[in-house]
Amino acid sequence: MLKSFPADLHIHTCLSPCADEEMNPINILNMAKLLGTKIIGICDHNTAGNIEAIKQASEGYDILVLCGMEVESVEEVHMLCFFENVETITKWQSFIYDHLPNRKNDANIFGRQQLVDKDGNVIGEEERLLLTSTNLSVNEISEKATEMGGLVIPAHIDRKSYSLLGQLGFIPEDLKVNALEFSRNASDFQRESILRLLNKEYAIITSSDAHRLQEMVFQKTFFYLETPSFTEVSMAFRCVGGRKVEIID
Amino acid sequence: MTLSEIQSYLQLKAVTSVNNPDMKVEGGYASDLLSWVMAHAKENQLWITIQSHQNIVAVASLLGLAGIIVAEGVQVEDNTIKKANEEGINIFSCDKTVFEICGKLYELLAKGNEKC
Repeated sequence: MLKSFPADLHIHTCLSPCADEEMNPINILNMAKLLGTKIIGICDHNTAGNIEAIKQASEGYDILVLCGMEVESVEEVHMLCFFENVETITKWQSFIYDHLPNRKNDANIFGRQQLVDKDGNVIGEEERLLLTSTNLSVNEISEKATEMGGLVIPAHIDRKSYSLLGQLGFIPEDLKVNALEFSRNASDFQRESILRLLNKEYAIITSSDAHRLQEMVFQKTFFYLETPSFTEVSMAFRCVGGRKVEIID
Repeated sequence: MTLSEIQSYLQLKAVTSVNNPDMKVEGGYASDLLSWVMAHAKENQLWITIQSHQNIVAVASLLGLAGIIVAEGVQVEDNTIKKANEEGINIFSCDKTVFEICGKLYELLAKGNEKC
């Protein structure tokens, strides 16, 4: 029996330098609860440092937290990568850190990169510069993530900057992707006109890409699953057994 | 000015086999946003970029560009070179900055036009 689960797979925490300090686990979960969102993806820039805290905090909530990361490729394309659990995304994080420049963040320019615990207490700051590109190509990112059992979703493809279509003009034929993400600002018309230009069919999601609580607007992206889990979400992208993801306007 | 003349003036290193070296280059274009290049670059222009993803080959082929100069010593990916050789797209590598290449190429092409 399939049930529908409203989802927003692209939310930043206070670890992303450009996000508000109020983006801590409890605030994000409470906002998702208020909105009725049942599946959230946490995707900070090139890091997964706050994932464990929000996974722990989510235990008292009827909300699935997907372990994600917004990785920036050498072409300056943003790619959402999701993994099944904290352990795998931690391995992915060390792979990504090996491909980031060894530079320190300047909080005055980029903003603070706060690590928090499940109650939102600041337990440290990530010193490494996160708001920059790795030296990995989009193909290298998608191949490695897929090999590690992950899901790959090019982010906000309707945007001019930091998007697969903006930076690379079109979707490379051999690129492994599980779905495409449109930003919360993309109109139906924009979505339709972009999809018409693509030579393949893709699963589509919209996300808030929230850096502030007030940006966590309801996304109208619904997963049809038996139970909310990473595996079921991945099956929905492949339309296994009637599972699917839909945008309902 | 022909492609091979420009290649030798700018000391460009060909990373693919050079197709049609005597073709007349009609201008240059510089940008790293491929969507922007697709909308604005013109046929027979040399394109200067630091992108080396294989999509650059498709863009050059779509527009009929004279070739691509991958600037600033950026290493051209192997599958990009392979694809370019298959499609007959010329790719050159150059250690100079995009700014320097543009300046020199602009000057060369302006001189070339004066002669005509």
